[in-house]
Amino acid sequence: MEKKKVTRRKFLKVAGTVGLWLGAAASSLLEACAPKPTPAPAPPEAPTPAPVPPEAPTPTPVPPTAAPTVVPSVRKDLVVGLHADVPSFGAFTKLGETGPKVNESIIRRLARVSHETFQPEPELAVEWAMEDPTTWVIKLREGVQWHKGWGEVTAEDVEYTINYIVENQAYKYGTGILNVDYVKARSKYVVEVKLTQPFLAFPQVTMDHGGDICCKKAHLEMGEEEYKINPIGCGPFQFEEWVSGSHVIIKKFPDYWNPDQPKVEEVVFPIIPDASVRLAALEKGEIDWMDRINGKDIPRVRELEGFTFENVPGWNWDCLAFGFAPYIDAKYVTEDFPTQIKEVRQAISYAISRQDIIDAVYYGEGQPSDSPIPEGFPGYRPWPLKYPPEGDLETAKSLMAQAGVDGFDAEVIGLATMPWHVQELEVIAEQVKPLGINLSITAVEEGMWHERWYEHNFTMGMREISMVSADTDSCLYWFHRSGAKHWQGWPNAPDEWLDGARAETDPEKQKELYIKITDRVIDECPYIFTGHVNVIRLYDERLTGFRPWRVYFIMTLDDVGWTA
Amino acid sequence: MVDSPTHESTMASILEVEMTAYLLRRIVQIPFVIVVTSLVIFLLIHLTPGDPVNEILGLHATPEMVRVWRHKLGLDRPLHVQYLSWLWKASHGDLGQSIRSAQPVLKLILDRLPLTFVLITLAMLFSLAVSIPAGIISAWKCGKFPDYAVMFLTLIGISMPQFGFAIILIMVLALRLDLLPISGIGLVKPLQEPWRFAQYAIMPVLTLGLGLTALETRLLRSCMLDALSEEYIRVARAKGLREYFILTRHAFRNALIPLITVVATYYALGMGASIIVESIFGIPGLGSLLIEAVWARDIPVVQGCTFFIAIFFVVANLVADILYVYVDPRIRFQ
Repeated sequence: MEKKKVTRRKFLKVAGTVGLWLGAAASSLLEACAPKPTPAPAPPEAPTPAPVPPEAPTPTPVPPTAAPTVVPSVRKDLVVGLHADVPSFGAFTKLGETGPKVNESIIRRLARVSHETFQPEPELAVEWAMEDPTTWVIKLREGVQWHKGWGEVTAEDVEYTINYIVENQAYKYGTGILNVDYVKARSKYVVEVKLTQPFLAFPQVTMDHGGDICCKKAHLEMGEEEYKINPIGCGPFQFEEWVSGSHVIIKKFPDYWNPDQPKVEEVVFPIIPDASVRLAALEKGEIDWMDRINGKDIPRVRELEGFTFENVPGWNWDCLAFGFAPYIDAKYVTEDFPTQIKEVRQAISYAISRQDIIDAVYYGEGQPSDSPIPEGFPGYRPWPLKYPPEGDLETAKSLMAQAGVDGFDAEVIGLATMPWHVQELEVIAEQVKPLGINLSITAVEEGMWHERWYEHNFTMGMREISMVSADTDSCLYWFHRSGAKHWQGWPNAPDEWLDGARAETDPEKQKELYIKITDRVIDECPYIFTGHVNVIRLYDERLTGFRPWRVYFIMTLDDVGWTA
Repeated sequence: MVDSPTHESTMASILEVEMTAYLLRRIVQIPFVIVVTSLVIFLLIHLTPGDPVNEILGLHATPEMVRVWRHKLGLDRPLHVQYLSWLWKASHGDLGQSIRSAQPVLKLILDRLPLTFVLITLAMLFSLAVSIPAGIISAWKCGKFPDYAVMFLTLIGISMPQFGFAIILIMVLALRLDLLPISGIGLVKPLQEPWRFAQYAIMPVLTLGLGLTALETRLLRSCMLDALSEEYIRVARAKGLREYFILTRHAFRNALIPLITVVATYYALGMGASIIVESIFGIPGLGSLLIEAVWARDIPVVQGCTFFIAIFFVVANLVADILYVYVDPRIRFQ
């Protein structure tokens, strides 16, 4: 009988065979390493034309703004560096900050507010008017096509999209879609929006921020889960490919309604999380555009040859927020804690040198401000309204004496993923030390920060807020007692004024209410505003056509092209 | 007789039986290890502050919206129900859906896993190619210049943080010399463009392999020095064997065991440890998927990733145990 034994020769033979199989498997692995684009959906069958009901009364037309100058394009592609992956696409889910940069070129809004003129510009909608205080009528642009053969954009798509958001309380419910009772298609291109109360800022808020419209037919056939990863829009670019964690590719939509747009054929969005690496990639020419530059690099990149340094006043504010008892957990704040005294909060506000914060943390890229309303918004008044930009320590000390408080220790939380906030808190901590206030800074990651905020477990916290729409309501509704989670227990929240301003149809009366709200906020300091930070972008100087949006999460590429 | 063919074949048979029994015992242990690991991770992620629904809906979410979404995602069920439901589905190959993107978790992982695996493997091969000769030479020339040079370089390799080394590589190789691209590996198809893929992979592989190379070199040097001080080496030299054979056939084989342990451990740990490198170079790998999921509190993705890492760990250690026997026949399976 043959005797088996495991010898080295046998082992090597087996190992060699196994090695060959592993090599074959490795080839499969390498093949698997290739980008896995999400497959595009099959084009639909030709749609059956819907019957056209009688036309509604023609609303008062709004004259469109002049189109940007057309420029000749040399390169036909564009590479835009993103700092984080896109969570998803479409009209119904949170897109983060990077998602809209891609989404805005695929999905169109009803109207888009210019950040230069503050006026809504036609996009999918060409005319709109308030028929009565609670009814808005919108006329759509005719002949606009959905991508990939999904038919024409009609009023049914608008009806479907907004009703879906309301019925499902989807992402922009409560911010962009406010006070909407229902939406009805009056005819093929005319939509009626019925509100629960008058809302003067309907074009700026609902048609702009809440106005992303999705394709009803595609959404129903594909389902929301598929639509989120294979969006069907009607913008100048159509979705091509998304490799999660790596890149997104969009390509020119040949049937876009404006034949002069876009100027490039393809846009690639590689994801490069590290800001230093992203800047290196820009300098090397691997990408053409970036934002979210490290603060320490700003002095150098301002003078970088071959690049355009774009800095625009941002629609945002940084603020120090206070928690109020008994809403906040007693472990962090009690009713006799010094920050519950108005004079103490005012003293902190007086002690802060906002100019020093802008200079030290943001390298001068921002405006020191004690107001939540950026320049140009209804109700804006030139800063400072009450607290000097360089601070006033003497007034601060006298307020502390008036409050009968010698000093105290307090914890303040900041987001670890926003190191500039932690730096800002360090500056503030030094500035309030002369008052006997010792701030201990706890940098927490985002999940923990939200948890502490939502569960009312904080004494003070640093926040950054960007305005989602060009209306003062988006600056001030943070103080409203009911609804979302931003109210931190301030007992004197001006709910009645906020509700009144939202429903007010007279712009002057609305402005008066905003001024009253702002004055109360600045006087009582539930939040202490430190400034509005500039939005900074850096891109190849041969590019033109970028619009200077004042928030990081908007980017339109309709007229972007190469001049050389 | 101890050295008779009968005795040798009997020993070989015993070895095969032992190995088979050992393999079966280890394979049976795998599901148990994975269940315990997944349970620990499940509990940890639920204890971590942060609600995934808040990440989806943002700061404007009302309590009603949060309640509706938590119910939709099954997050309002008792923890044990959630875990058992996940375990049941996982046993059938369904790791659930990402809370953030609604894509199947298994698909997300399988899309990202190959690239991480390839880069770790390349880093491993690079480290072995450098550390083996360096460790042998350093031990052979102990106390002389080559030894000092290797020790100095390995000290730098161990001390240098991955992030710092990556930035240096980018500054020198990419920016100053313009030899290599910085990011964009996800845009390249490896089989169709192997040279282009290699260009993108060089810096990440060097970064991943640096610390490991230094560690392996030092470990191998230490083991080689131990082996070279043994009696049998003196005998081999006395017999007149060439130094090359003494180093490679005798001493090195005995020094291999700890190296196998390091390699096996690195493979499993590397899956998660590649986070830094993937973040710097924009690599769509498993590490970046895991860290994004942790930040977003995407519980199914975190569980899925750790599930895979646990499997890797178990399999890597099993392979290491098998290799031990063939490298050193003195090791038994009991």
